[in-house]
Amino acid sequence: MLRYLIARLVQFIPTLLGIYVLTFVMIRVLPGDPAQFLEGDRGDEQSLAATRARLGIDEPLTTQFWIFFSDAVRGDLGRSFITRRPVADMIAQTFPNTAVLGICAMLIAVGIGIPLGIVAAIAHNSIWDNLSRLIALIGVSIPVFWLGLQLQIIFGLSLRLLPVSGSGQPAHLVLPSVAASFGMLAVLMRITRSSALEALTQDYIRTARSKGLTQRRVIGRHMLSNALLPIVTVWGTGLASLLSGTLLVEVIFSYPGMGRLLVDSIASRDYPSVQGLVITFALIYAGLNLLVDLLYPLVDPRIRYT
Amino acid sequence: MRRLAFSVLIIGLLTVFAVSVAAQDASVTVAFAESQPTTLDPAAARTNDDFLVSRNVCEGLLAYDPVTLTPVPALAESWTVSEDGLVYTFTLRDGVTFSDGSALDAADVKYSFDRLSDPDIGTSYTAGLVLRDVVGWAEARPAAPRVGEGTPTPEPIPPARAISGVEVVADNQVRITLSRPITSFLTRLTLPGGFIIAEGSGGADGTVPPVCTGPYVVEEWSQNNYVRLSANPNYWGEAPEVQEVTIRVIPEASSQVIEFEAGSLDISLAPEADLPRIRSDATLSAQLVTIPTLSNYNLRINLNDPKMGDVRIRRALALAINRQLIIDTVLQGNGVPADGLYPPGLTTFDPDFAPFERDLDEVRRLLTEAGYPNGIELTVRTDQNETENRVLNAMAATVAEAGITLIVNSTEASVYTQDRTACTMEMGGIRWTMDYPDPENMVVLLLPNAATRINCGYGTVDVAPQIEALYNQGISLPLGAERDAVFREIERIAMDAVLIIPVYHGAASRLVSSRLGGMPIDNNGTIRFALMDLQ
Repeated sequence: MLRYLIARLVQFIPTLLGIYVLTFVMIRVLPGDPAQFLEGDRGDEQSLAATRARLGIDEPLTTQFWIFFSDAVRGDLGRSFITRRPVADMIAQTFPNTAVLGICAMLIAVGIGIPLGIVAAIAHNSIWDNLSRLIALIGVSIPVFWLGLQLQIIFGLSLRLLPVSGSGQPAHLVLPSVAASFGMLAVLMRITRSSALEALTQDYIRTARSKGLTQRRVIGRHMLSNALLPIVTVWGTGLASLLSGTLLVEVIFSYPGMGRLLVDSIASRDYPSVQGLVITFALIYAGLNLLVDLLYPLVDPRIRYT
Repeated sequence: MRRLAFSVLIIGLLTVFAVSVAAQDASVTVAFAESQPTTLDPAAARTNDDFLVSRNVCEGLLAYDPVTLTPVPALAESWTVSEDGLVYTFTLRDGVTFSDGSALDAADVKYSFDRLSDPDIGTSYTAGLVLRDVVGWAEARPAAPRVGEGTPTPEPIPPARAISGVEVVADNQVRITLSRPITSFLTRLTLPGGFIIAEGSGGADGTVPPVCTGPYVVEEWSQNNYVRLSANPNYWGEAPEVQEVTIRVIPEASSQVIEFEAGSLDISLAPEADLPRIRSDATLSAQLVTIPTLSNYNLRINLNDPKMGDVRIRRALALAINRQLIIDTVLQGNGVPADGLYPPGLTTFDPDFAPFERDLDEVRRLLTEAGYPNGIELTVRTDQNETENRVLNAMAATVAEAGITLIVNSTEASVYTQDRTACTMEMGGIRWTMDYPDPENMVVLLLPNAATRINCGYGTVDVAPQIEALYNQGISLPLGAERDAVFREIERIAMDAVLIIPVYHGAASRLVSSRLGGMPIDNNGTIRFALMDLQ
């Protein structure tokens, strides 16, 4: 197990390096010049040149790469071109917000999606099943920005129950979490339903029932534990995509997270911020994938890492 | 005894409640107009969001009058100007202290101006506007690159960091010497680039607020979230009624309106798309404030382009636009048609100057003469600004009636800025809001003093020397009819040659809570917390 963990961690290094190089090149290949963006229509040649020099983008690309890369290896992600704050500080300030939002959204998705999926599987082809399938269909079809605006209008403006945007208090998290959770909730529900349905047809369920076990025990002990594997897989990748997928939600709800910071950074060609954020997202993805892999043996004792 | 203790507890709780309600009442929450500030340092301030913080926290030697926008004494209580208009001597106001309690003196002024030559602080264009005609500024700044020689890299000349034209005469007196007489110098001193900070304050990265003398101090800047200000206890002027300010980051204008309606914002944007609904709502319309901006939305032309280099085609396009229709439909009445450079509100504005009255027969005649009897296809570039895209699409519809197919090519702001600077376009939209209320700041649209205009041929067009000569004459003339006549002549020449195609002079709408009295927004469109009365 330990050897497996070390091997996986070592595999991270070339992955991260590749991502770093790709990000470095791609953001610079995009048309758009950060110095011109900063100076706008008012800066003269002199101030444009001073800005280029200050940002370090007048250096050859290889020199720029070396400067950024050697700093990054030492843990220095550079300073934002726009706000001139250390990128690491900006990430440290926004990461907890995104993490909290992602976790809340996941709790909603898991808390509602899995029970609904189980109910749909048990009451197969009933009105409850159809209802849950309808919810799933709506969940995956509704664009998150539209849902976000509707939530703002209904709960913020009409009912005045919840704040429309911002952060700082638990109430600020409700609407963005619900908006962010909807897609994931639908997927989790569908997966739970199908894997539970499959498990319900297995011999061991019939055996358990014939032994006279209660429905609750059959579902909880025998069906759910066997249906968990695909759910955990979807959950793991889902949580990672939730963290990065909160991007639109963060924009709509003016929520100060990493997703919104990334959108702003790309738009203003803030190279250091984009590089730092992409690497952070990559680390989150890789870390969560590893976590899912490590969870497999707990869910299914037949799986062993050597 | 128990009853007494209970009474004390209740009174205590009520007192706390009353105090907290009072504190709540003295606080105001607004939102940034664009996104969030890029800096807290006035020297580096370049966006409207930067200015909003700087203008409420820092002050210059002079300020502008919130109604007339003319320069009035601020940190300098008086000044004298030499007969040749070159030497300004400012006497500082007595008893002014910075927010840290230290007293303002002439050394702070010298420090603030010298600091602007440090390339590391990211000095913005407003500092250039303040200092570009001051003796010693050119030597103190890093050297300029030569235009047209590839990547502009400055020579590694260390800046002098001291501007010889700014001198300390006495503890309370500063002398500023200009290289040529500039009439607008006092007006330019009101820009954030001319704000005074305490000697030694102001870090290099703009995240630490410099120590200033204004009515507010920055308490906290939460990235992508909010900036919090509180009243400066050491403010030299009258203490403001608003004690606490939160400026939130809500980039979506429509979200700001929702927040305003929900009661969580005191001032919000009022985007054109929401105006019909706002106007039809009695409560909201009573809180709608519209302020004309000193601005000119216009099309910059690539004068080197084979098609747009032909003045007949430029004039044809200018004559084909139905400006009033665009203002009525897209802008919901927020603006007036622009026929020249100067917006209403400037002394150089002439309501009778109308060189581009719509005339479709003349458009067809001009196009035929230019070799396009069956119409012409033109492309206009823009960024993804929602209003501008709608304006240009409406424009395309109006010019289509005259046989002009106008294609609107909208790209990301950074891409558009790059192409506009290189002038790899036929023409592009320019949202120009004046930095200071002087006609010379509108003439900049014609001058080849930035890469974008040089590359678009503004330096080589045949009327360029004439415009430059008139500009140089105008900027030194005293305010009055003679100066106005010179700037009007520039406008006439430029519109004759159709160097830009003016479209409209805009206006900005905001929703302002009825609990804010006084002057929450000045005539420059800036939110001024110290000028608010709480009702």
